[in-house]
Amino acid sequence: MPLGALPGAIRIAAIAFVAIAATPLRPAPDRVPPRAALPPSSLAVWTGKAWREWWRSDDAPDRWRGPHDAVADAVRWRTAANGVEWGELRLAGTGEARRLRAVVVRIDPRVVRLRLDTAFTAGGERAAWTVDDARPDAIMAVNVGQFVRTLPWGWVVLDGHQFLAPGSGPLATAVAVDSSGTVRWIGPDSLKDANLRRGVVAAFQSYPTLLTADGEIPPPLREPGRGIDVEHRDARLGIGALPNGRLLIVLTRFDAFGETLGSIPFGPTIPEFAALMGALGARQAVALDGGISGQMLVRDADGTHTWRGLRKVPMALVVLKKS
Amino acid sequence: MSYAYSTSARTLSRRGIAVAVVASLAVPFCGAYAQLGGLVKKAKDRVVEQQVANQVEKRVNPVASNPGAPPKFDDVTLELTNDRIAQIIHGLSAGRAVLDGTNGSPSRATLIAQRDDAARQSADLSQKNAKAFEAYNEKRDASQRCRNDAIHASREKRQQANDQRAKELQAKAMSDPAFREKAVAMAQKMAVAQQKGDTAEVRRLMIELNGAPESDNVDSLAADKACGSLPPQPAAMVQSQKLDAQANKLSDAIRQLEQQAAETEVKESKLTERQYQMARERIEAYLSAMKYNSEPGGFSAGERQALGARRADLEKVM
Repeated sequence: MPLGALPGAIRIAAIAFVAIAATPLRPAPDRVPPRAALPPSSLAVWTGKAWREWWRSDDAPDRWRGPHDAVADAVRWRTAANGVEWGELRLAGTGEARRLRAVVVRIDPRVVRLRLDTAFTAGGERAAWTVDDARPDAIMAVNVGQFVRTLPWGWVVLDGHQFLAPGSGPLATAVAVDSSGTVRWIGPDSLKDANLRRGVVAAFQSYPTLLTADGEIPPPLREPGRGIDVEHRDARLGIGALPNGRLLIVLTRFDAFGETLGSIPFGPTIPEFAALMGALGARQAVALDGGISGQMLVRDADGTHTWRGLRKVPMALVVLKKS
Repeated sequence: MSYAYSTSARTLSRRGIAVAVVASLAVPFCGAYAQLGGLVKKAKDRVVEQQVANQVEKRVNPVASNPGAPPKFDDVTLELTNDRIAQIIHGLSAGRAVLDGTNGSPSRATLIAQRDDAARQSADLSQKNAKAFEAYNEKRDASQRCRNDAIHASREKRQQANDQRAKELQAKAMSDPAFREKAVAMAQKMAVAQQKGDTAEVRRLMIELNGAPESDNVDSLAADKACGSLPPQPAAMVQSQKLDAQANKLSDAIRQLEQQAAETEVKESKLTERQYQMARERIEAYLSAMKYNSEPGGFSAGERQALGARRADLEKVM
């Protein structure tokens, strides 16, 4: 029946129904405005020709559905070895973060071997690992986890044996490697599940979670006063998972006068760093011990590239060729 | 006829002309408007992008850039004055006392020695009994595989039997009115018992309807019958596992002690936790730079002087 044949009220209802039905469905918005604001800041990336602003605290997305083209395209990837690529990008932020460099590494855990190395002084009194201690066959090495004084915080599995018991916290994430080389990301509540811990040969825990499994920024990182300092600037280090199962490791460095002052702990805020991980394509991510602890090494055909920290740490993730 | 045709033709023709005119006017105009709008938008975007890029450029390359300049001092990043450094040294000393066991608990050094001793003994046992451990592991794995298969087979067999019984009961309910009535009455009783939360009564009624349930470990018993029990662990292995557990426990105790020391440091420094952690990290950065004879960046002249004056004290307690 044509609409014109319907009596008044029914006709209006029918028109309204047709109008509603015809309106295309929009995806739920990623931005939810009514909440306390993050401190004002922005991030720009050097595209090779110009600075391109790609993130603002007053318009920050709550979820990263994929990489940001300008950021992802700014990395010139170099192959370190089969399954390991690395690159750098220049960033400009606010205040102390006005000149930053991010070192980015992509690792395919299916074609390399991941292991955890620990190092302590003779009496066990101090943590003792630095990038200079990385084994000579390491393709890449980076400090992982967090620590209070000497021993790593949270769950640690070394060579298939639990070395330290799990820690707890709402924003803690465990990264576990099983005997097949698959990397599992385990949230704070799931560590109790013995099935998820079975077959794990290496694991560590860290915090805070930067992105949850679907690229979502955890609510405490979206506004002040929810348990995370969203204002503090520091050198940052994080590990993330790309959609294809590869790992993404990002270390930020202060970028005045090249690497000379690289270890100075000036850098992005935690929300900015979460955005960087998301913009580089990570679907989930967790922060590692940055600040003066952050350090990384990559070996490629050109030699050894080292980004040193100012502090010795207890544990490192080491990437080796699959034997 | 011809008139009528002609009128109609004229009408159509007028309409056609009107449509054509509207179309000919509208299409290029819309196209031009779209192009002009696009150009204006692109130009605007370029201006905005350029402005943003200029602002970023100014931020990145300020005229008097001093990368080693101190950070902006605020509620979290405090300037390290003589007094504050003294407070921090006081906190660090108190934390060190906790680690040294002066509050009556075992010192960190003691705990580390005990842990390393347990780990060493465990490693020794594993090394000396490597062949026995390997043989046990092989036997255990074979037994486990056999048991998994047996448990799976037993479960399948029971499932089939249960399905068969359910079919028979259904058929009986269809053909036997007395049984059907009994089943309905039983279901009602069960519903009442369930509402009351009377699990014992529910269980009793279930047994009355279906007969006694099978024992919970029926599949395990079937596996025992087919494969025998799991082989007993060698004594050395049991001992080694005990030692590992002990070492883990001691590691946790070390972490707890370190946590306690860290909390004491903050408390005794009279700073907030965030202020203290920031100050401690900056001091570590300063000491590291001095150790490697490099210029410590990110400190004010006053801070460098104050830190330099207490460097030896800081190195002792850090």
